[in-house]
Amino acid sequence: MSGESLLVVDSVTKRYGETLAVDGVSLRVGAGEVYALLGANGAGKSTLIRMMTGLSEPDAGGVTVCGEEMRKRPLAAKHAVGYLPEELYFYQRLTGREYLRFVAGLKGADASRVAAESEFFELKAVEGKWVGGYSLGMRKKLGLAAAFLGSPRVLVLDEPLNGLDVEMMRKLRLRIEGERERGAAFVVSSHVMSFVERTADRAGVMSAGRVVAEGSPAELRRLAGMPDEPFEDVFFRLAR
Amino acid sequence: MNHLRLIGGAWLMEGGRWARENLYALVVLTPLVLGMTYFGVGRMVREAEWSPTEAQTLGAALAAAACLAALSLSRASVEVYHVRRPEWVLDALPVSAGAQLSAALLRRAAHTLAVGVVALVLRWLAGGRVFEASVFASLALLVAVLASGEILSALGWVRWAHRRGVAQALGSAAAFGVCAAVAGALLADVLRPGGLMLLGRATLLACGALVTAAQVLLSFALHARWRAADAEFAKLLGARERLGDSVEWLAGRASRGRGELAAQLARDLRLVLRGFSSAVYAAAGVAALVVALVVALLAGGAVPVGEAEGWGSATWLPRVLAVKFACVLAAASLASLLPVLVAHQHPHLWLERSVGLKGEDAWRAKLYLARVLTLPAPAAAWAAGLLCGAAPASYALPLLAECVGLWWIVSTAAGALAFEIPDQPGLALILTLCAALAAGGLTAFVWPIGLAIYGMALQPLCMRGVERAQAHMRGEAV
Repeated sequence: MSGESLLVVDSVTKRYGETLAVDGVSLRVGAGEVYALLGANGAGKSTLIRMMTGLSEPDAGGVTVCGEEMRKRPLAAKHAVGYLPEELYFYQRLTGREYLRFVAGLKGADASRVAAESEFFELKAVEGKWVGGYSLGMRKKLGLAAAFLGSPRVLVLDEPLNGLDVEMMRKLRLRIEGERERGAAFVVSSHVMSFVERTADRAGVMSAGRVVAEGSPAELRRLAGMPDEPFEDVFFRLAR
Repeated sequence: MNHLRLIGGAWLMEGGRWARENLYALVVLTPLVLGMTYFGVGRMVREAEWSPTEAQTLGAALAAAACLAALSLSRASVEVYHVRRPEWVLDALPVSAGAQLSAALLRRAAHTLAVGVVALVLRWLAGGRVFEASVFASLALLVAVLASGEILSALGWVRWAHRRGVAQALGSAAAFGVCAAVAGALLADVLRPGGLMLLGRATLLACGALVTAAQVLLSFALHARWRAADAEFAKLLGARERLGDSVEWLAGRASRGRGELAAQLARDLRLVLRGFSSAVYAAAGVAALVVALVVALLAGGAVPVGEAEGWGSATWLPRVLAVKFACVLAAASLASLLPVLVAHQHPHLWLERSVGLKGEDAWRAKLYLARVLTLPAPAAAWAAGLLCGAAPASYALPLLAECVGLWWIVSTAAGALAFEIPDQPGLALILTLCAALAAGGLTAFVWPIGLAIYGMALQPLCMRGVERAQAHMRGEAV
């Protein structure tokens, strides 16, 4: 771990009726660290992420962000988090610029950053158009811009690469590396293993609601006994 | 407060732009419907000899308030918990639960305001004075009681889905009952030109204010306590398919077990039931208005009874004709959804094209949809006629047969034209209405003509409909 723990997940459990979605997961993400969450569909990644961001309450255990307990002081904890969900819902009749200004206002962030984020995520050309007319890629970029607004100390990105073109993927990777230098902590859920191996400092492999393997990509390779195989194969071996 | 201002600002902006997009409906259609109501139902109501007693008004208002609150449960829970709504972002941002509930309350109040406006229009139609301070006080409290009651009921409903606690469910049901009772009494006070005499107005207003305050306070307390734990269950509640089995069954029966037809029909029915367009509400509203109009005409004695010279000539009795024309109008109104649905599905047609669906099957699915959608029209018109004594008892069953025949003619005409102008729903709507009303109207007047219309006009129209659908499937129909 690179520094102080900005995100602490302590033995969280979440159950939906008979289904145990997350089973006693604990993890810590330090300042300047990128933590990748890997797992098949239904492994519990999104539920865990929803609990990290305060969208869902754990049945047991707790989440602490920058020293603030999500259950006791949700507003203080959420101040430190930037979140990109997998499914995005926007106001269809607001323009991209208006939406970002709206989010900046709610975050209490500097509205002048809207233009900079819009520029970075290549939304300048469409920022005056209604979001209802945006393509999947543009919606994803808008969601990313909203998550990065206000320079949060913890960024939780659920499938950030879906719908992005190669150039934008590269820009996002460089941005994450830049923010990491600034001391931000990242939790990234992705199925793009090359991105994970290149970007993540540590990764946790989830299966049936539990973290079954954890470590740096190199450590995970060693754990799987697959030093030269593609990282997808490493993931399959560990998740099985 | 700043958060509430931002959320309200986003809604206003979005709502304003929606209004700009629907300018035609707001500026032309709404006044048209209101005008029709005024010159139709309104006049009948005012000139009718019968007027409801206070107890009848109160009973109807109580039922209406309970129905309104019950129908809004699903929407209110979606608004409180932001299920698949752009407001999801509020949960991920440092926005307090209190601010989120305040926003939901404001939104609900804005929606409920429409009920208040309708109540005011009804009062005006009944000959009551509109610009009275006491009426506005009752109206404001009606909106406040209903909006806060819907929010409180939605919280209880989602909690029930989560915990299944009997005590909590009973408490929620009791709160719902109180809300419906007070809202119903306030609604009756607005509707009756002379106000409600059973309760003093001051008592009623005090009850309204008290219930609103209690509901708001309780909502804030329970929301703060339950939100975090219940949010996920609201999402599951919204995803549950309540009509799934019945829609599948109906589609299977209507399409006689043909899989490709049943699948299309089930999809179309779901889209209609979920209100794919505001046209669904407009069509259903106009159909209901037509039935209400015929009831007002028959009950008010506006249509002469007439005398039948023989059993068979009862078909030309003025009151029987009124019922049949109401059946045609209501069925045509419901069938007018077809061109709107075809246009709505146009961007998603790649699926049908890619699986190689035959044009005939696409057309037949729409024909069956027309039949299913318009089915309530003959039932409602016949029941209205029967209740108002429009036909002699001996002619009750022949009248039903005539209504069924009219339904068949109107739905066939509308179904046949489903793919006639698929890209221009406005034009297609006019064409469908003209054809359905012409065929249905002539048949209503002289039923044997219906047989000729069906054989000589509708059958060739159906063959043309298949060709148009085939061309549409190939992407050629423009």
